[in-house]
Amino acid sequence: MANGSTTATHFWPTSFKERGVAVPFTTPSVAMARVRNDERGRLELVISGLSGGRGVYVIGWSAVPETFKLTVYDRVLHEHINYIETVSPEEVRQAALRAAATGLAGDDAAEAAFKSSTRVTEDQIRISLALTQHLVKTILDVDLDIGLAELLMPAGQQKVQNLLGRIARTENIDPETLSRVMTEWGDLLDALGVLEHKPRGRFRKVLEDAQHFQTSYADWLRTGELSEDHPAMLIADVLEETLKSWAQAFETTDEFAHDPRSTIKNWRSVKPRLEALSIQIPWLEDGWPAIFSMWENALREGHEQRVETVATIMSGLPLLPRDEVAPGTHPRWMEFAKRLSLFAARNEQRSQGDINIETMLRQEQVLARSLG
Amino acid sequence: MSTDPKDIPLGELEGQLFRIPEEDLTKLVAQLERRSMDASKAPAVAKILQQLRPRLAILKPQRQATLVRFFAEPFADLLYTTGEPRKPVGRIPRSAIMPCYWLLQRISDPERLKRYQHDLDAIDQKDEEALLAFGTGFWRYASGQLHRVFDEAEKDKSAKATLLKSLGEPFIYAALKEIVGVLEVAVPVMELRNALPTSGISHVTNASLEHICTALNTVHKQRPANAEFVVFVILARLKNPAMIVEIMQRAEEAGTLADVSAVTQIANEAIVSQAEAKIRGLEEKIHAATSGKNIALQTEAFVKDVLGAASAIGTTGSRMQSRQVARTKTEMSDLVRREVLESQDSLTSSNLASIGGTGSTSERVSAQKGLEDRIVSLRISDRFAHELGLDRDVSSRLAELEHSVNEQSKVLLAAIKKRDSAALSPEEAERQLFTQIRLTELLQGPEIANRLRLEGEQLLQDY
Repeated sequence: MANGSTTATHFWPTSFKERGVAVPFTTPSVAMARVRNDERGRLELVISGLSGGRGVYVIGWSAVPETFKLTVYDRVLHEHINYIETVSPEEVRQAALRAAATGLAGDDAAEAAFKSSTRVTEDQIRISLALTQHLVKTILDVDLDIGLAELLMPAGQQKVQNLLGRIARTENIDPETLSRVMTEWGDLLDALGVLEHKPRGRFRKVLEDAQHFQTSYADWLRTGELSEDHPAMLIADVLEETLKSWAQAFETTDEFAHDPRSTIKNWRSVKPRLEALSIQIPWLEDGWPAIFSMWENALREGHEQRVETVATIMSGLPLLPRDEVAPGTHPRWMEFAKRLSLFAARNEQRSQGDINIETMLRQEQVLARSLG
Repeated sequence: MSTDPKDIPLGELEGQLFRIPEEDLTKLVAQLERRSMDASKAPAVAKILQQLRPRLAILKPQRQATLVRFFAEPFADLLYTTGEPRKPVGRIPRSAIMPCYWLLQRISDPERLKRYQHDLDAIDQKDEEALLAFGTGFWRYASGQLHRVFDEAEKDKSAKATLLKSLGEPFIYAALKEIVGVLEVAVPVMELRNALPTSGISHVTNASLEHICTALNTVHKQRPANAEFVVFVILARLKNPAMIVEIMQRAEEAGTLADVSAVTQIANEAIVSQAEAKIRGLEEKIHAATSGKNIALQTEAFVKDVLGAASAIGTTGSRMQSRQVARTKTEMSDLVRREVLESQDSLTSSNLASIGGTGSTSERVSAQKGLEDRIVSLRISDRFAHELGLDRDVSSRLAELEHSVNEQSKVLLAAIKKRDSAALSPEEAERQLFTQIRLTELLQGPEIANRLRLEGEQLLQDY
């Protein structure tokens, strides 16, 4: 099914569900495409800039391998995604990790998938520990100086339990309740991280990558010799506006850590808000890690490659949906959508022919970086 | 991040290059530039700056307003980095800058140079007009001083020997001649440099042509013999050197005063010389490259350049120049056959043997990476092999690899069918299957590779 309209509204989704999730394909012709559930729950691919077309295309998921000449990795990824019932960034990421672990997208992607999978458990423990350290410092003004190895020993665990017991007594909370709250809170922060503690958390690290992207992209815009009407500035504008939403989401997450007494006492009302944030933040960031990885690669290439990368990014630039931004900013986002639709109309760059081996390898590097 | 270059191991620069804060990078570059004034430290500093170049190309930080930088600015387009002790016509090695500048320092009035530095410090580095006005005096003085010494050397053998000794290398003496030539017409050259796109020009607009004609006419009026330096600057910015012929024709039609025929001949000479130098540059890059893919990509770019040169010479060059370019192509063909194709044959065979073998995981991973790189480099080489007469060399190697990988896949599928998990564990069978699929995809495309996957996965289900 094709929707050839160039109206800006087609480039500005109303919800995350409508926007779909970026799929880390390595086939150049489907780079930056997205997957979403249709109204009846079936999966479909959303893609812009198809050759001969001028708008956003929607293709039934099962028809994707027949419509495009896909790499073997992408066929495997397609099959894994096919099992997803409700599309979410995490589900698609897990599918990508499983597909990349085969080595079909190269050894770097396989290694990144392996490292990423094995690191999760360790990061979860470290972030839970960081949360405990933060709590102990804030409430008892004691530095809980303990490493991961010591924590796993009975003496280390006893040390932590003693301190948590002191907090429970000081704050007049049932120790079991405190222990449960700490576990649930730690689980909710496992990818978001705790304030200034390390590890930063996968999603907080994306913020750092965003800042690095902003700096290097601004350098290039300043000196890149682009024509005056080149749409590259749109990427920086959209990211700047998007970052405001990211910052707000992380600020809210951190507010609970700033005042741990109140968070623990009001955990019943705080928990759903943190759960909502831990679902919202991955959607807010979705699509950007691949963009940052693409740019990181392009920085090491020539001017033409950078211009080409900008065109690829533009073909799947993730605009925040209408429901997710403040009404006061709607005109600004509508303007972004208009600029994006104008660009899509004149940049029908996707080819459904043979796969260019260099571009495929480049996409594999992007995949490896974004999984890492 | 430390700003002391001593504290930055070169190996780490690559990974951190785009993450060094702009302020730190600017300080680092300034410090390096100050150190490069010391002759003994200059080579080490040049090495670090070379590593920083990809970032500097994007960032273009505020550079130190030093006289030596200003001295080199008019011929910045012509600079190249190489260890080759010969220099092509129309190009100036970076390593010539400091010896020539030190020469200028030795033969100049120190007070006058101090005054120049003082005046330069007082100018806002963004004020192009003021910089050009300052340069008018400085470049005239510098070229006058150097011209005098060069003329003396040309007339007197012992003076030449002394000068050669002070410059260090004979190719720097040749570079000095061209540096003087550019500095003599530095103002129109700088005006042209500021007006043209910085690199990779694939189309010359009417506005650019007008700037080219202005530069040619100004130089023709001032020093007709120096028109070649305007052409060298244009050549350095063209994507394809063959374009110079059309540009000169358009300049002639636009009524330029310059002797177009003579200038085109010099351009042809530069094109031939630069094409010859590319062979040496390619050889250096082949030896320094870390992957076959990068070698193939660099070779492809060189082939395009040499073909561009052949096209330019074919239109307006002499027979001798055509023969020189043909010889360059033959040399390039020999080099690619020897260094890119044949040199990797035995490694490819041993890698093929290793991927299904019983070696360690790291050995197998390394063998697979080596094979993937070989296939990719051959597929890229296939795109330009015809131009160098290497089609059969490349296609036969691809066919051999295809045959070997297909045979290995057949053997693997047969082993999986046997379901002898003592001889081949399911995990190992799966690993080997994905390796074969990956190699098949790179060699024969995703359709054939996917058929192998489906067949293999079907068999593995029953394992």
